[in-house]
Amino acid sequence: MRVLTRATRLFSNLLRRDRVESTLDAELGAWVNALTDRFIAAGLSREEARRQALIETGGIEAIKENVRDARLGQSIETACQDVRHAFRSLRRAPGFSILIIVTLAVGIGASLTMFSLMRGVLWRPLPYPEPDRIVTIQVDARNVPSAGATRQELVGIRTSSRSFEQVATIDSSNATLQYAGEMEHVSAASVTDDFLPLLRVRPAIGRLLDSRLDAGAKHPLAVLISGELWRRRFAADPGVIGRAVRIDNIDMQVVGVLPAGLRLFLPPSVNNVEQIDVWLPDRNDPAIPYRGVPLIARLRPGVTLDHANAELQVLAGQFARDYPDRYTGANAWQASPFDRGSGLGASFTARSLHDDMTRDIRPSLILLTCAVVFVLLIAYVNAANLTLVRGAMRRRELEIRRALGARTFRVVRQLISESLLLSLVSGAIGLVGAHVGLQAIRLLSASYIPLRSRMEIDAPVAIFALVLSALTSVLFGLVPAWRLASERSDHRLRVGRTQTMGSDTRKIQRAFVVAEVALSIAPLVCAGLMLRSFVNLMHLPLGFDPAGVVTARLPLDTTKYPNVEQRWAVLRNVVDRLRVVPEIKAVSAADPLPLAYQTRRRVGRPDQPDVPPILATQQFALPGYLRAIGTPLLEGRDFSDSDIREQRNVTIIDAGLAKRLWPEGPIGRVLSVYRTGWRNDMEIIGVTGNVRVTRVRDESIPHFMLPYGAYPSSMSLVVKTEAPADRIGPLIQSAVGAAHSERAAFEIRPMGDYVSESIGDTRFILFVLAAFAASSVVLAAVGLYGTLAYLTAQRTREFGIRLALGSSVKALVTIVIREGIVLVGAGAGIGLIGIAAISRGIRELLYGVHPFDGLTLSAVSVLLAIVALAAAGVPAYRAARIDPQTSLRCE
Amino acid sequence: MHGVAIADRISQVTSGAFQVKAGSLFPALHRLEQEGWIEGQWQESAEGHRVRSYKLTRDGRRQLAAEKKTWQRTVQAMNALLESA
Repeated sequence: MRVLTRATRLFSNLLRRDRVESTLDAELGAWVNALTDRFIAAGLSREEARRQALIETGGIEAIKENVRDARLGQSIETACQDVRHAFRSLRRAPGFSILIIVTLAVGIGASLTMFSLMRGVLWRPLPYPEPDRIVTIQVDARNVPSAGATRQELVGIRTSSRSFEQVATIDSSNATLQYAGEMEHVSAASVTDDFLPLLRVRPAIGRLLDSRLDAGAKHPLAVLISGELWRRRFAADPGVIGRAVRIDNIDMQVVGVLPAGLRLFLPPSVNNVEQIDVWLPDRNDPAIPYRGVPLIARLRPGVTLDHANAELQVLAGQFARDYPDRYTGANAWQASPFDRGSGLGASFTARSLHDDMTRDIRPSLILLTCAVVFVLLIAYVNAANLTLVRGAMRRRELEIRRALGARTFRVVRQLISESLLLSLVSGAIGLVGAHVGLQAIRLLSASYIPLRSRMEIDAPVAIFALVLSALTSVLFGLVPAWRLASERSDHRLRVGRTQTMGSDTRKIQRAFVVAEVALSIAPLVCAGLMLRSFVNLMHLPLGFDPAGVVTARLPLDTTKYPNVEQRWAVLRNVVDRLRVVPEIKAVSAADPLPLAYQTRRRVGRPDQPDVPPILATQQFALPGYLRAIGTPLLEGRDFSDSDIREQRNVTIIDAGLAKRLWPEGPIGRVLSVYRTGWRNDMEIIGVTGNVRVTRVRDESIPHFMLPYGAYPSSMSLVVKTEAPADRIGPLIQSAVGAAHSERAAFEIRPMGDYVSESIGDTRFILFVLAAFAASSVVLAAVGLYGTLAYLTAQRTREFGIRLALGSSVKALVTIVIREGIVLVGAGAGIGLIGIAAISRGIRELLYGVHPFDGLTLSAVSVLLAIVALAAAGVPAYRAARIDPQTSLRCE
Repeated sequence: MHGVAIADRISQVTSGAFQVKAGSLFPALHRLEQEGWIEGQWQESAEGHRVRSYKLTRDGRRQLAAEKKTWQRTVQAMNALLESA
């Protein structure tokens, strides 16, 4: 109750100030009137009575002030006054205020952008209950790292391990949904029963997948749909359970709806989209000895990662003993002799899911965070420098206020209010800037940043902005306040208007400028190095020509076309229809596309069984692929239609593989391709130039191609054309439709997209670093300019005297320019030493350039020299225009 | 009771020992009002002026009783101290 009355009173004191004040006026008026009446009654005249009454009452304003002090919320009132005053005094110096706000907004904005990025990607826990217990299990099989598990291993770990609550797998794909007579392309995932329980996902309606209920021929297959799809296609109808839908031409039944907003965050190797529309039961036969299944598991409560890994190692040994034929190749059909000698068949490593997702990006984020700290420091130094200059200029104002009776505390409070106001405004602008920055980063690094959808400006970021602003205001506001408070208070008003600053302040100012330049070196050099890496990557020979190549994923209905001959006929049909289009110069298909997710195989020579096999990327292709993609055929021949029709065991290898295995010439030799369980021997019919298919920067992995056929893989069309992708898209779709593939082509995009995605990491770092470097160089230039301009203005009298005594204008200009060059030179020197510290962090992100690259360092030096000259130019011009007579008379 | 009346009453009760001036009275009244111990209202005075009249609230009475007790204890203690000297 009392709290409530106090709150209402505080409210009326603060917000109904006029009413409270007029009540006080009326009350005091009544008091004076009463006294006046009394004096009239005592026989005084009306005027005299009023005079006496006022004397009796005492100073009305003093009473009012005392009453005001008694009110609640008086300190808030004073603070408001301070802020109003701060606002007015900043309005009087708009140039200074804008400069400082821009400076701080750049620093804070850059920091907030990085903070949101780090928070979204590295610090924010994944949106699943107890995310720390979710792990991925990496399987290295023989000498293939991250080969993926087999289904037997999945079942083996699930049944034998005590460390995991669930062990699940997912296969992310696409599907065609048919419902109510409409076809739609949707994202799909086939998962084991325990996958969704592992993430602790509960259905919004219905149930999750359960192979015990879903198995059996008499039931249609079960499917779960996302909350988003439910709203979009089923009008959020709760009666959707049991409804029949057709997915990839198979009749299925909706058994559950998942909550809207469910997002799937998995390592890049799973290659999934974040939002899955339909969830299908995993129908793969556990007996297939196929390797490449991703494993996701949840630790039991209380089990540590180390403990789980120790157990996994034991299990790996046990699997190898129990199933020697699968691992050590003791059986005759185990073809790779190398397998026999390699001891343990597979090794398992559990890793926290979040760590696994962010492992690749961590070094670049840390580098960028270092860079942003430099930008923030430069902004601080700049702001402190500007405040110092302004402090010197308003010394008189503050001294007058103190002479009129303001207490030091009140003046210091005033100064801090000003800096707080500036910081908060900068913080708000910085927040907006960070929002724009994040949008730009999202746009630029389309697929490179994991968890990018988790970056956003939310409450913690806003709180961080507030804290950063407050910290900022303390850092750059306390300096002048402290200087003021520590000064002795006698005979300061006597000092003249044009007094120069003490040599102390000048030294601090120069030190500030040197520091700013030194700090800006690191972001500049890093950006320069990344730019050179990027240019190097752009000019690498890819081994194919992405220009004018449009690609499209082409799914085939495996139910309608169960065997290779039928699928080949459909493909042939699509290719033939497109070949006659005038805009299209060449057309073929392959799987996977270069720079998409690659399949790796171990290959070797059958006649050298003891030489360890080589890891190479494998690609299926149709005849004419080499011509369409622009890879040169150095020797031999391309695949022919009959290779596919007759399913010949032939292969085309690249020059790198040829050189390693058969330096004397590979045509006609036999290449052994090992898979878990068997060996395929292929006759080499052609040799191509080297191609880079995994990543633009990886050149060491050789490549080989097989004719389409052996395995049911969906192919990607490759169309060489001069027309843009959006013109070719409809042509592709109509050809695909006419060939009765029963599926729509998707992901119709230029080959160039894959290339630019592959160098997306370098481009992302380059973009962010370039923004930081540009900000830091602009801030340093502003600091240099401000300092030189101020110092020159301070020396107007001195320059006037010099001119009067016969100094030439050129000599004065030289003084100013020299000061600029000396300051920048000193800063650059110190900054270059700092590079040594950073070089280690950046080395692994560079390509084809050394951290101490001479060209970059000299370019940065030249840039800084230009900045120094430009920043010193205006003050030098002013110095040159000094008229000795005016400058001496201006006192 | 309004301002002038309060000042008069104090002076009357204490036989002129305490002469309360506006400079002390108003801040005191407003502090009491802010604490919620008294509450003010505009009324017509006996002389026909519009005056702001104050009366004790329930909280105020409670506070007064407490203050009285404290004061009596202080007085007793002071008396005891002075008499023992």
